[in-house]
Amino acid sequence: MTKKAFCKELNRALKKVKRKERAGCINQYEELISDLMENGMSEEEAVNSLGNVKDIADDLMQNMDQDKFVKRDKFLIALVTLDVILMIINIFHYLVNTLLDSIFFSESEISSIGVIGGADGPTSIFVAAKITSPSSVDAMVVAMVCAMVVTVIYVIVKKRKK
Amino acid sequence: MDIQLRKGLLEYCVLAILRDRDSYGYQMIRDISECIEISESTLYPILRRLESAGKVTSYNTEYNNRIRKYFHLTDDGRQMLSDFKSDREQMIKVLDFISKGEKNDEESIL
Repeated sequence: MTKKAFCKELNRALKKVKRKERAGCINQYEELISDLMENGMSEEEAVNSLGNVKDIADDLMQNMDQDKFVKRDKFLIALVTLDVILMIINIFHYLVNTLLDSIFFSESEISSIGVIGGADGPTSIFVAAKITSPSSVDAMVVAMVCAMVVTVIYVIVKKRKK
Repeated sequence: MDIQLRKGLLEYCVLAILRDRDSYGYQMIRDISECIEISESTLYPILRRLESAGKVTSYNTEYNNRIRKYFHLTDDGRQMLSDFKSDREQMIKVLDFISKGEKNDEESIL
């Protein structure tokens, strides 16, 4: 294994460790491998002399304090998941609507259908409005925006606390 | 040796090595290995812990076209080391106490 491959693998094995701490450890290993190579080992030998990456990572983590580990915020994960789901639904809605519109009728054509199929006078306005404003989509958009705002506020408050 | 006990002792070994001159990872492993077995996966977290506690500081220097991280003992670290020396008597007392118990055990078995 090369030095680069070793560092990459170590980085992966230490994914539960906070970024800063992880980077510090990897830099130290990089330096150590270079030192070993300058003392007569080949790159391969130097990396092999360190042993199994997983064992190294376990050993490192065993010697670390608890506050060096990444804490997963379940509430934040749930919020972001909700955001993504709502966004997908909205995009899907939008795509279906524009697709149907372009295949069949434009908005003004739909409202004129409302007039022809419905009635004239005040009733035609009522019918046309019913057809052209898809209220369920609006509700979803509002929900998405709300969820996103809550997420952003939550993240900001959390950063402030630190 | 017990992990917790080892960790504690190794911290002092690291401080002791830095007392006279600044050192870097590989050199420190070699020096400490003379008295107690230490692997780099044990040393690095200790160094980082000592650094965040302000007992040692680190600085990068260029060596052979690469960066080498040197560690330096702070006054705080020096204080910790001299405090340990005064704890030495207490420690020996504890060790004696523990091994005295052991001797009694052996006698009672015999």
